[in-house]
Amino acid sequence: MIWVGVGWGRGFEALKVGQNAAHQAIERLGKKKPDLVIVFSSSRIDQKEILQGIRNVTGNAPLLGCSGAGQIAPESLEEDVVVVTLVSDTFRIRTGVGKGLRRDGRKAGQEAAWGASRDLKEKGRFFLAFSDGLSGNGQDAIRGIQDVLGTSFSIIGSSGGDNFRFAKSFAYYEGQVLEDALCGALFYGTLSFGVGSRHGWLPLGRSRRVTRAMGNLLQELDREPAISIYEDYFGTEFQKGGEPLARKSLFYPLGLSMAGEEEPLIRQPIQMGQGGSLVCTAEVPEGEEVHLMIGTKESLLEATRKAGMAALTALSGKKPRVVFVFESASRKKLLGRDGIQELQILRDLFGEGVPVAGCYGYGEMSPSGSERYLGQSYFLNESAVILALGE
Amino acid sequence: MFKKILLVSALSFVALFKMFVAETLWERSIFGFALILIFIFFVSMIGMEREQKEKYEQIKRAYEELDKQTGLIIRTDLGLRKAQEELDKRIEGLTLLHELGQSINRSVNVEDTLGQLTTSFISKFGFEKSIILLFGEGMEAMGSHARVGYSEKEAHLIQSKLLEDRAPKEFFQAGKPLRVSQSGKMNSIAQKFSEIFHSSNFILVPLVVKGKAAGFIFVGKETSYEEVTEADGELVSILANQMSQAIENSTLYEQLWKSHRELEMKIKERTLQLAKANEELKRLNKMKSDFVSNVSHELRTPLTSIKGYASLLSEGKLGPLSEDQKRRLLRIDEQTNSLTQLVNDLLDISRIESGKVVMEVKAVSVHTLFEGPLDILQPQIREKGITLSLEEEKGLPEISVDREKMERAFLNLLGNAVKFTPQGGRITLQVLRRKEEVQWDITDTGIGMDPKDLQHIFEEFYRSENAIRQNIKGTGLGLSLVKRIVEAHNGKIWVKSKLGQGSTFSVSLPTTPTPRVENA
Repeated sequence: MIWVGVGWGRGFEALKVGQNAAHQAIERLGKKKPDLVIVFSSSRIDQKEILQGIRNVTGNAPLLGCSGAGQIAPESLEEDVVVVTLVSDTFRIRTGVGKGLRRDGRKAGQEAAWGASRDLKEKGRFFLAFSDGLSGNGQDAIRGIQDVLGTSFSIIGSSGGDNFRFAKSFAYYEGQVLEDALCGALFYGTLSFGVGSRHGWLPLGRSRRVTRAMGNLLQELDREPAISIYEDYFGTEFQKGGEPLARKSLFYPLGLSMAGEEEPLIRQPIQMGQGGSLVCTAEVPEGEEVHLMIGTKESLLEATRKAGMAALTALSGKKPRVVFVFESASRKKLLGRDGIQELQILRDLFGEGVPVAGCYGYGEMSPSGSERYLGQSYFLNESAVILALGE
Repeated sequence: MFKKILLVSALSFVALFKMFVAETLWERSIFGFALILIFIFFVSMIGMEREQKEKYEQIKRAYEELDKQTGLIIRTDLGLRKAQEELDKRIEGLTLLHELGQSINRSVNVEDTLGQLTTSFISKFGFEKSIILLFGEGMEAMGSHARVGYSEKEAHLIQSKLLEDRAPKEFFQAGKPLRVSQSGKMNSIAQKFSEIFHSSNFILVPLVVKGKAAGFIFVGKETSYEEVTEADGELVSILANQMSQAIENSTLYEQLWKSHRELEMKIKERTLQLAKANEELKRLNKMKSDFVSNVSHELRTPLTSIKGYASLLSEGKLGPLSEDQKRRLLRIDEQTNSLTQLVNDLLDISRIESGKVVMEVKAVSVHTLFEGPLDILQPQIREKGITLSLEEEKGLPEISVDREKMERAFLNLLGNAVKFTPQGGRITLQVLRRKEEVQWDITDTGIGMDPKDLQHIFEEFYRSENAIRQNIKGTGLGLSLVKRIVEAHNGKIWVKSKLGQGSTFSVSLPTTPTPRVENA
């Protein structure tokens, strides 16, 4: 049996907002002490106070979460705080944290996974991860988790955002507001979960081959400086300057064609490096084919539906109890006022009474090709990841 | 291609060689034929290669063309998306402004109005920094509001920097908004503000109230990813307009409220003063009435004695009197009577005034009220040859009055009429019904009164100049007593008069009077 309670609120008195949202969540949970508290909060309000407010209500219950470029509550996308509380008598949860993401992402991933799985005799079901979205190579951190939990272990989660300021984002672990860190919860025991991820971006123009790359630094495409892909298409617009690269690449990311995957893997360049290279949020392997990608509201909403459908199918007939959405901030921007349609799509899929909660971050984590379920997990960009817990 | 040529050449060479080394003609011709075939194949192959190459080139050109069109698509998409974003922002901004407008309308002072611009509002409006400054008359800063993203110290620094400089003052007086973004060019004034506010991505809109610079709204963005746009500028200008209007309204309201309040206070104060004065007057009046009442009372006893002794004397019971003495005694008697009348009138007035009098109310016919007085006055009327006409409406109801007092009132009024009407004059007494009242009009053809006397004749001891001039005697208490009696019956009395032509005294009493029966 799974018990779920979701609370939310908005305002600038962080302590009060946090406290109220937590009260709501606990009330809806119907239990006094949650097994896990998941927090999504706006970076615009005082981070320490918000956690203090929540923990005034939830006490020492394990707490995880991240700041977002927007929060997803069951009925609105305009909330400052969303608190999810979980209790189960069939599965259990252990948490861990890894610091120093920027310096050594892999090590931070290992630490977090190790912290959550140490001395555990059972095999875990999946790892729910949250990280600072502006630090280091996300794929490295995933590799670290895989080092501990296994290459095809499901890692699902989000990296934080900060309302499009691209200055500071945070991961929450217990009562701490952490930068440059990754934390996670290992779910083990009897548990049904389904996960789906899609982005809905479509390739545009000719493909280019990655001829030189180093980790998340994409140096050359077709033996030309990587930046040429943007310069070619944006023309004089691009050279005019003023608008930073990240703002353009947010809506026109790069797509890596992956063998055996339905959709290309998305990488977002966030900065221009030396010699016309592009700094991406995760690594770009040499030899892969790269396209410039474009999205429409319809294609993005269709991706939400497909990801939700995949998660629902993976539940294989079990009743969904809660749906988590980890989504890219770029999708929020592109969908604009139509973003609310996503909530309706998910309600239509999972049923009116099933609470939906999540956040818009700067990166997502999910097993790729999730229809096959045992796919390897990737650090994604500009995608929507949907996780449904059922029973 | 090179490989194919090599292969064909090798084959041709082999065929040629075989043809030369062949032993039979048959063999030679076969190899010769093969050579021809190879040659034909070679030629056709070259043709096909060329065609393929052309096609390939064609496809490549189309591909590149398409890729170029991709750029077009992207640039169009970019433009559309920017327009969409601006539109969304405007809609959101306008919705917010609408909400703000509603709550501003509810606030009644400047503090409340500015208090609506919370951190939350500024943030939802899409800005990370804001400051609103209000100026006084001489452009001196009156304090900052809606401070977001600046410490109090920084806000003070901004204030003082703005005051030091001339250029900002001129800018605020001009009242035009300023938008500064990173990609745009900055003129000198933009540069100046950029330095003062430590921002290069902001909007500054002066607040103009009644055509005067009253302050400004500053909003800015911290993020380098979003620049302030024209739409932002327009929205902030609308906001500034709303705020200016609200400030003007609140100021007016505050002034109005203040003056209203002052007026209220003044009225209260004055009412209190008046109430006090009134109390004092009442007290003094009572003292006066008590004094008059006491004095009158004390005077009556000696007056009775005087009158008694005088009548003893005049009757000759204490010895015979000369004519002269008799005449003097008669004068004493007359004067004593008039003094007794005066004292009685005074006593009655003060009694009625102080509520010490008991009214004995009974239903009586209207007629009886003046019948008695007319009987008493009959000798004088006859003596003066006055024509008395009586016009009494038929079917008048009975009225409830203190008969004795009302008779006295009518005796007084009719007596006056007789007194002031010259020989051979006329007195008319009209009695008629007016709605719920009975009205008596006593009209004489006497000496009449000056208009300035009319408002005073019911006052105690007041005598009209005309009466004094004509040496007609009187105490000046009669009418005052009449007025008090009539009013004690909830009635009214008034007079119309023309000098030398006579007067009309009117009395009206309710048909169902509820006399002020006040017990001492």
